[in-house]
Amino acid sequence: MAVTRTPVTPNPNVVPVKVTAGEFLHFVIDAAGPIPIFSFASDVKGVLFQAADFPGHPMVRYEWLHLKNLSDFQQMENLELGLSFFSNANYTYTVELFNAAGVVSTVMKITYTGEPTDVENESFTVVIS
Amino acid sequence: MTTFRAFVIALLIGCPAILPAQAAPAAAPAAGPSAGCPNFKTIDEFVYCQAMATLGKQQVGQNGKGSDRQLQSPSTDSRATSLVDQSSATDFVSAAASLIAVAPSLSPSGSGSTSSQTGSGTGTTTASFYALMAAFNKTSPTDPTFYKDHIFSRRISFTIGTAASTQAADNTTTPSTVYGAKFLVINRRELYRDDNLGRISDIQKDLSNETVAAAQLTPKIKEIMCAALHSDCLVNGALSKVGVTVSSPGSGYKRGDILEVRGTGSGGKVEVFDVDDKNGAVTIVQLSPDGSSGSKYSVATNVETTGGSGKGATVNITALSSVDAKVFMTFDQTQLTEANLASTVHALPDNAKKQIQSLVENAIQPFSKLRTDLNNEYDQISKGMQMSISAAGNNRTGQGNNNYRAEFIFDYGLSTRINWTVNGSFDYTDRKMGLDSRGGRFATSFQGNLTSPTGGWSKSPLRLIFSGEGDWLSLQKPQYSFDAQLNVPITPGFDLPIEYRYANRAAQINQADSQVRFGLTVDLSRITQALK
Repeated sequence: MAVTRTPVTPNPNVVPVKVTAGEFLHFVIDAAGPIPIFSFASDVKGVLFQAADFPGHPMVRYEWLHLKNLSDFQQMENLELGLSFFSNANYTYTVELFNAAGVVSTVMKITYTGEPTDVENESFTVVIS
Repeated sequence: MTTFRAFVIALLIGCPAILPAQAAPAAAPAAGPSAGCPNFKTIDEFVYCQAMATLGKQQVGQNGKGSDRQLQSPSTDSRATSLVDQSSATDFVSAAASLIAVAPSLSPSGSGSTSSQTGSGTGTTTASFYALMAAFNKTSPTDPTFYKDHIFSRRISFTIGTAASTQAADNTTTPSTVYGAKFLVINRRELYRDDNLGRISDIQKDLSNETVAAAQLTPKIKEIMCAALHSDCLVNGALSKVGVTVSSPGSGYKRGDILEVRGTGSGGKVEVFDVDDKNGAVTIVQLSPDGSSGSKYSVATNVETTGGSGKGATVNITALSSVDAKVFMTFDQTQLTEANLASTVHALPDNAKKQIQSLVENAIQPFSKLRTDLNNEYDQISKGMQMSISAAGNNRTGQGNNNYRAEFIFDYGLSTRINWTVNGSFDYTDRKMGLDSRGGRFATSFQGNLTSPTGGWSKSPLRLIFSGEGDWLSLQKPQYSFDAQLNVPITPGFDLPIEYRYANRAAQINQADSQVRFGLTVDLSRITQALK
């Protein structure tokens, strides 16, 4: 494994989200190309998204929301991102805390560079209230 | 013609400059970069490293900068530091230059060189049609959508530049104009072939399975660590994050109400996350966000609750945990951070390490399959056959000879580190002061990577190349050449080819000749990426 992981905003491991106050998470993956391969999964619900699920794949940017819907609510859920560098050498992973007014804060922002056979995982626990 | 040539050269060299920059972090890194095993910095890297350690050390093929990409001047240029042409050019733009004019003979036989080659250095630029398209569209050549939509343009590349001339071989010392074009007829290394897209799809499935496995494994490993290092982390019969559901909804509750769960245990709390707006009936409860998971609970149905603004809500306890959620969260936020993870792992007792090892072994299959498929599929693509045809010319002004070559080129990956190339060509020398020569040429080359690449846009690997060539031209005796070359990466985008070449006879001269050549190849795309 030779992935170079460079945190701009480090992973806090535990992310509190006040869903009862309308907060939710905004995920962004910026990919350099040519064909990004990633998966986003929960320890409770399994695979939530993968690159090929997004309309327009392959793209430069992938975005999705989590904890916007009641069906997303799961206390202390471990959210895991898996990245493959098989056909995409560079990724930037950004997680932002949103409310109805917009961005509350950047939870984490990390860039990764790897070789084709490399894999990297990044996870955190969500505490909802 | 001169103006047009200058325009094309300027266009080729200017390509990367007008490419938009990829998204890059705006702020300075808050922490230093990490580079995976064994220097894990995050719990996720630790888990992955444990899985890889369990799988054992298998050789991971790393050939990101394949030896199949031609960056050097075409072989038709007699000063090129390459005896053999390769099927595919760079995907983007590269430049090659001969740093030092042809050196005096180093022939150990003492025969000495009769070459009078004193011309100035060679310089060529090669660009794919794809790179030009990207430049014209003002987009990055790695843009996923653009890459997908311009597959065909990656089959075509152009070379333009100048080459030194010598009186003996070329009937002039005025540098020639080098130009050429190459068409990749078969490219089994193209990602957008159906079979390769199938391989990428398989990798995506494997990655999804691995990600789910890691998502489930990571909290369990954290729990083992917490329990091993904090006695109060381990409890009997705590409420689980997935083990409390609404049984009877009651009424009069509000979102955010905290309810204490009764039953056999104590201290366990849940939060009301959704209610029926008509009557305040509870529809969703979750473990309290402060981590009050209590203790001594048992699996049960219709367990009473107290607290909140309503009454009558009961819950089902369907699963239990052995970890105190409050202690666990504090542990996760403090001792598993990048700053403290290494010391936390170091402090683990042997039995905890064995527990982790056992846990990983039981969950190893998705990690194993992903790793195996990554290596196999990468090998399949990187060793794929390539075949191309090319045409190149060296035009000289005045009485200088013109050289033309039509060529068939074949590449095949013998292994992830060794690429085999074969050239067959028809060569034609147009002599303005004498009879023309026509004939054939056959060349073959083996390119081996001595080191592995270290990053996506990092330095190329150290590369050793052995080549042989035979030329059979009319009015000339056969010429056979042998070439050994070491390609030394200097920095990302800059390579220094050092070549020793021996020929049984130099062109037009009936004496053996051996030379040492130095060159410089510049991959402008790689430099652009490195500077970002």
